[in-house]
Amino acid sequence: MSGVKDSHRTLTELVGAARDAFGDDLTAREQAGLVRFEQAVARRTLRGTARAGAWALGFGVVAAGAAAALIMFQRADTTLTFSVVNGSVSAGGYVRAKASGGTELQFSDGSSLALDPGTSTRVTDIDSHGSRVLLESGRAHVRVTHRKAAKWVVDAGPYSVHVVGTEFDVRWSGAEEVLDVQMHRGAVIVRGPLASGGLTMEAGQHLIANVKEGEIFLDASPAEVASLLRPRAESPEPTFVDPGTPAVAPVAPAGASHAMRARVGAGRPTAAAATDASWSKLMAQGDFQSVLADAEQRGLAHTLETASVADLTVLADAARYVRRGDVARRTYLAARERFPRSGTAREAAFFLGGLAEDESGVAAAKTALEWYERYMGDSPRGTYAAQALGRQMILVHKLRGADAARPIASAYLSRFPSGPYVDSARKLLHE
Amino acid sequence: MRDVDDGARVILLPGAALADSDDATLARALIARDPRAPRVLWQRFAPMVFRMLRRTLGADHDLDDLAQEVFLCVFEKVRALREPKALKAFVISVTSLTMRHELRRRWVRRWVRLSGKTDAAELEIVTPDTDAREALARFYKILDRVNATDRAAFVLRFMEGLELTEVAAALKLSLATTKRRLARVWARVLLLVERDPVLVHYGPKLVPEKPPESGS
Repeated sequence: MSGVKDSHRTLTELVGAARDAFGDDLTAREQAGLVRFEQAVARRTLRGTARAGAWALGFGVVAAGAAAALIMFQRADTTLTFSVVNGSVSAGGYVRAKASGGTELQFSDGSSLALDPGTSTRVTDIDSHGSRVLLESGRAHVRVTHRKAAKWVVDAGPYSVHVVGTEFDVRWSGAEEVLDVQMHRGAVIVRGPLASGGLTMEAGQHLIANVKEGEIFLDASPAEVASLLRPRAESPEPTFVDPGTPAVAPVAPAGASHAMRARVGAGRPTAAAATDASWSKLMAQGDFQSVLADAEQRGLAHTLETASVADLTVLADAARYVRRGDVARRTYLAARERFPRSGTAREAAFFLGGLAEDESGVAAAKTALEWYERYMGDSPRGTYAAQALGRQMILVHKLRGADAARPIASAYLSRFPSGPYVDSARKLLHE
Repeated sequence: MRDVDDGARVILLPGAALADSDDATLARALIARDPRAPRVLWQRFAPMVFRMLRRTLGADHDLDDLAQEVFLCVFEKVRALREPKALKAFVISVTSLTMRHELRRRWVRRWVRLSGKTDAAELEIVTPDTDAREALARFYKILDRVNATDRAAFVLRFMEGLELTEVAAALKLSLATTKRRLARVWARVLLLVERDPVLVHYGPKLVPEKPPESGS
C-alpha cells in the first residue's frame, strides 16, 4: 500500500517538475514568430481577395446586383476593411511596396493608397469612419472617398495629415526628416512641428516641412515646384533605401516662401534591386529556402555589399525562418553597417539579440543583452520594445540576479501592462 | 493632437485598445478580420500555446512550426466559433488537436523508422538539476508509450490544470469518456513509473500529500 502511495507521489512530483521546466517564457525566436504569423495572415487575406475576384468574375451580374443591394442597405457603422494589392508584409508587419511598383492599399469604401516602390506603411487603426495610416518611409498617393463624418489620418514622422475627402501625395523621409505634401483635390490639415495649430492646405498647394532645419514651405504655385521635383519621382531607388543620398534637400532663403530648390538623388541602381520583386514573391509563397539559395548563388558577400535595405530585410527574414542563424546574423550586421539609420538596422539589433540567445553560454547571453539594450536605446517605442525589454529583464535576472532585474521588471509593468512578460515581471517583483 | 506639446509625436500603436479588450471582443475582431486582431491574438495566447506544446512534446525546434499551425488554424476557423467569449477554450482545443496530430505523426515516423531518434531523445529540458533532467527525460519516454489522445488529456488535466469539462471540450470527448481516459492514463503512467528503476526512487521530498484529482 505504501509502495503505491509512493508511486503516486513520484508521478505527482514528475508532473510538477515538467510543469516547472516548461513555463510561460518565450524565447526571442518564439516571440519573432509573430512576424511570420502576420505574414501568413496577409498572404491568406490576399489569396482570399484573389479567390473573391474569381468568383466575382464568374457571377458578375449577380454580384453587381448584390453589391448594389448591399450598398443600399449597408449600415453606416460597418467597420472598413482593406486589402493589399501587389505588395508584401515585412518584418514588423509593415506593408512594403514592391520595387516593380503597382502596390496599393484598397479600402472597402473606395479609398486607396498607391505606394511608390520601396515605400513602407502600416494601417494602425481602422473603424467605420476611416483609417489611420502610418507612412514610415517613402511616398504615397492618397485618395480618400468623400463620405459623411469620414475621418482619415496619415501619420508621417512627427506630422499628422487630417483628411476628409481628398486626393494628395504625401512623402516622408525619416533620414532627412522631410515631409512633402502635394494636394490635388479637396483639403487637408497638417499638424506637427512648426504647425502645431494646424496648417490648412487646399487643392494645388504644395508643402515641404524640414524638421531638422526648422523650415516649412507652403507654396501656392505647385506646378513650379512639381517641375523642380519631377526627376525625384523617376529615380529608380526610393529615398529610404540609401539614407546617404538624400532625394530632397530644400534650401530656402529666409522668408522666401516661394523659393525652393531640389537636389536630386543620384539614383544609383543596386545590384540586387532586380531581386526585390522575386524575393518578395518567394517570401509571399513561403519559399524562404529559395531566397537563401538565390542569395548564395549570387554570392553572399556580394549580396550583402550591394543589396538594397529592402532586400537585406527579406534575406534576413528568410534566413531566420530556415534557421540559418549565421546568414541572418551577417545580413543584419550588413544592414546596420550600410544603412545605419534605416528601420531595418534598428530592428536588426532586436533580432541579433535573439540570434545570440539561440546560442548557449554566458558569453552569448551577455551579447544578447547588449543587443537588446542597444535596441531599446535606439527604438524605445519600436515594434519589438515589449519583447526586447522583457528579454532584457530575463537576461539581467540570469546574469546579474533578481535585485538587478527588479527595476527593469517595474519599468516593464509600467510601460507594457499587457505585454508578454508581465507574468515574469510580477513573479520577479514578488520573489 | 491638440492636447500634446508642440512637436510631440502621437502614433496609435496597433491594437492598443484591442490589446486590453476581453476575449469576446478579440474573437469578434478576428471574425470581422480586423487587421489588428492577429497580433493581439498572438500576444495574448502565444505563451499558453507554446507552454502546452512544450509540456506535451518537449522544447524541440518544431514547436515554432506547430505554433504557426495553431494560430493560422484559429484565424481560419474562428468564424465557426459560436460563443465569442469561448475564444480561449477554442485556442486550447485547436492546440490539443495539433498536439495529437503531431504525436501521431511522430508515432508513424518512429514506426516506419524514418527517424532514429525517439521523442525523449529530442527533448530539450531546461533545468540545471541533473537528477531532475534525467527523471524528466525518462518520464517523457514513458509518455511516448501512451496514445496521443490519452497523452493530451494527461497534459491538459495534470500539467495545465484544466477542469474536467475543459479537457473534455478541448478533446471533443464526453465527460464520462474523459474521466475514464484520465483514470486509465494515470494508472498506465503510474505503472510504467513503478517499473522504471530510476524513477521509482525519484526524490519524494517535494511531493504533495495527495495525488492530483483525475476525476475518476
